Amino acid sequence: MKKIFIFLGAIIILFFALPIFKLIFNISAQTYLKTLQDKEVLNSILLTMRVSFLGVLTVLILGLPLAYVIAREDFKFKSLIESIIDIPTMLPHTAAGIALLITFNNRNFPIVDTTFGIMLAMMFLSAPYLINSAKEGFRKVDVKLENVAQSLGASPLQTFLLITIPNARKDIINGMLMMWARGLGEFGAVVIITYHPMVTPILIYDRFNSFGLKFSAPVAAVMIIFSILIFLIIRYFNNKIT
Amino acid sequence: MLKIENLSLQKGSFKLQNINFEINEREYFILLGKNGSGKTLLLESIAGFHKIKGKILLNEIELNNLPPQKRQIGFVYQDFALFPNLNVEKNIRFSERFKKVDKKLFQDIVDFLELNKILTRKINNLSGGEKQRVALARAIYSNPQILLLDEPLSAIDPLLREEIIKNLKDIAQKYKKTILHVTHDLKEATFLGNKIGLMVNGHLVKVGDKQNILSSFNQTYLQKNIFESYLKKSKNG
Repeated sequence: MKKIFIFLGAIIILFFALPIFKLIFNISAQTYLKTLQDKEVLNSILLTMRVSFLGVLTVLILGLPLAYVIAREDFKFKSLIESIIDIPTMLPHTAAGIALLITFNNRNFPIVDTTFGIMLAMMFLSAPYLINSAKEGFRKVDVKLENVAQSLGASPLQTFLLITIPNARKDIINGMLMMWARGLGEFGAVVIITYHPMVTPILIYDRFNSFGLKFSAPVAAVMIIFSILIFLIIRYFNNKIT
Repeated sequence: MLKIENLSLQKGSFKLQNINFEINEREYFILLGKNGSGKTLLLESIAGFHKIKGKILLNEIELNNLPPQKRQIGFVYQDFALFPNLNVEKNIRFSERFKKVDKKLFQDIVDFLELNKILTRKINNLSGGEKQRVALARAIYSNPQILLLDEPLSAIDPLLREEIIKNLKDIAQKYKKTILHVTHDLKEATFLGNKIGLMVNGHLVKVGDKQNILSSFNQTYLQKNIFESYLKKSKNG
C-alpha cells in the first residue's frame, strides 16, 4: 500500500512542480537579464509585492482581534461570522471585483485605477487565509497560559501581545504568507478595479495578449522566482524560531 | 486573610454551590477531593478567571470586581503553564514588567530551588520536576499574598515527589506564604496541610484542622467520596 501511496503522491507533486520548472528553465539567462532590466516589469513586481504586503498588515490589525474572539469566545451568530469570513473564498474573483466596485467606488473617493483599489481587491479575496490560520493558532494556545500571565500582573491586552500572539506566531506567520502569496496572484478582482498601474498578473496577461507567449513567459518566471524565494526564506526562519 | 462567602458558580452542567471557608495568614490549606469535584474551578474563581456569585475577600478587601492582574494571587497549574516563548529566566521574571517586585529575591529563589543551571534553557527542554520548580519560582517572585497550587505534584515523577513535597513545605515557611493547595492525594494532604477542606461534587462538605477532618469521617466514606482514585493508584502502584 505504501508504494501505491508514494506513486500517487508523486503524480500530484509532479503536476504542481512540472509547469513551474518548465516555465523557469525554459527561459535563457540572457532573457532573464533583459527582463530584470525592464523597469516596467520590476516596478510591477515591486508594486504587487508591496500592495499585497500592505493588505496583509491591514488584515493583521483588523483580523487578529476577530480571529482571537472567534477562537476564545462562544457567542450568538458565531457560525454566521465564520461563514462571512469564508465567503470570499467561494466567490468568482471577477464577481468580487464588481461587488467591491459597486460598494466602495464613489466620486469623492474613487478606487478605480488606484493602488488602494488593488489593495482592497487583494485583501477581500485573501484575508480569510490569514484570519482562519490565526484562529487555529490561537486555539492551540492553552488558555491557562493567559490566566497565569494575568495572575502575574499582565492586563488582557499585554497578555495578548506578550503571550498569546508569540505562542500562535507560527500559524499567524503562515497565514500572513498564504495571504500575501494569494494577493500576489490576484487577477480577476484587480483587473475589474485597476488595470493601471499594472500588477504583475495583469502585466503578464497584457503582454500575452499584445505580444504573445514569448514576451509574457519571462515576466511570469521572474515573478514566480521572486515569490518562491521570499516564501522559502520566511518559512525557513519561521520554522527555525518555532 | 482569605475569606470565601457563599461562592456559587455554574459552568456548563457543573455547579459550585454555596462554598464558605476561611484561610488564615501563613496557613497551608489543602482542598481535598477526587477528580471532577470542582477543585480547579474553585481555585480559578478565586484567582478571578470566572465570574461568581458570593464574595471573595483578601485581607478584608473584596476581590469580586478586581481583574486577575490586580488580585495579588499567585497561581501554579497542574501542568505548570510555563510560557513556551520565553526561557526559564524570562518566565520567572515575567511579573517584573507589571508589578513592583523585590529584584533581589530573584537570586534567592533561584538558589533555593536550584535553578541556576537551567536559567537559559527553553521550556520544552525541561523535565517535569524542573518545570514545577520554575512555575513555583515564577509565582513566588511575583510576590503574591496567597499562592494557589492546582495539583502541583500530579505531573511529577513519583520518585521526585517526596523531594518536591518537602520543597513546598520549605517554601511556605521560608517565603512566609499562605498557600491554598488542591489535591486528590491523601499523602500530600496529610504531610503538607494545617487545615483541610473536603470537596465533593461542587460542595465543600467539611473544613477543619487536619486531625479533626481525618478523624471525623469513617474510612468507607473517605474511600467512596474522596480517596477513591488515591487508593486505586496505591493498589496499582
